[in-house]
Amino acid sequence: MASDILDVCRELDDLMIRLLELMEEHIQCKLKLQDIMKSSCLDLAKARYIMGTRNVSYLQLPTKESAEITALRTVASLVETGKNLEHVVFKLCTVNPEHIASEKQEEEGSLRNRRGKGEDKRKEQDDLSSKKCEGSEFVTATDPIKWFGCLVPQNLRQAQKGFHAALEVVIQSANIQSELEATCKKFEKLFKLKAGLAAGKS
Amino acid sequence: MALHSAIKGKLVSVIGDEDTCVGFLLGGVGEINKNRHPNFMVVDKNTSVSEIEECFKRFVRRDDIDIILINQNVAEMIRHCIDSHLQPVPSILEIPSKDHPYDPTKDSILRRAKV
Repeated sequence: MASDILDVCRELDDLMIRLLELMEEHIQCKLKLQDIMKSSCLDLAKARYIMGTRNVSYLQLPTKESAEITALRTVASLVETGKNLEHVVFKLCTVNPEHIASEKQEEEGSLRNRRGKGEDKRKEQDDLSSKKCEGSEFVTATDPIKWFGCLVPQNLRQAQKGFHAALEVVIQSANIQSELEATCKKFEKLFKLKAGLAAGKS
Repeated sequence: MALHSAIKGKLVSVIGDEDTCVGFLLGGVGEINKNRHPNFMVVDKNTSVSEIEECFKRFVRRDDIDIILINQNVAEMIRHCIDSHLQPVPSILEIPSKDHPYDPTKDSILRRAKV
């Protein structure tokens, strides 16, 4: 019984140290994100100065009325189990816009090939409609910097690079947060177990 | 250390001021799905708390979103909603903004960890 309590106490100590480390990492990560965002916002402001206030604003963002838009940066989540701790791990996935466009074209191509030879008229109509689709899909899978125009200032490109870096820090921060939450839950569970063992002993 | 239960790529959504939304969308996280539902919300001085709350709840309900980024000053407005969310996915990340630097004492995760 005494050795049980000692084991639980030892594990609680380890968890507490890990918890403090994670809290420190969490704060450092957020401060790093703050620095990156601050410099990227400065680049956005410089781009706004060059292009005009209304040309770098939420007015350029897609709305509910605009065409379907695919995210070029997504996250994949996995459940990681290590040291008896189960928590979600996020990983950043980058999608190449050209890859999406070519994939969709291939899909359309295969669908077109399924039609019989005697359907020439329908095939012609299909070709016309698919060209329209290709056009719209190219827009959906395009680099977001093109929402702001074809010839954008260098500052806007720098801002984009900055926000790409910010996204990586965001993923890092999400992973720390996930581990922090899991560690907290485990700590609470063990703390209750320790209280139960101590009550049983007395 | 073992990795298992792989899930396909999901979205990062953003609730924040103009610069935060423009920046992260420029970074490529923006999406408008087939039902014309965006994964971002621009909060300005005219946006009401109920609108933010409704948008946040909608993002939490969506199963194609894994991470919700929210400016810390916006998160302060709907603190009760954020505190009541205890699930690991979607993960809610409070991020600093241009006008409001990061304050660790307000971060819901750190406050939960302290207790």
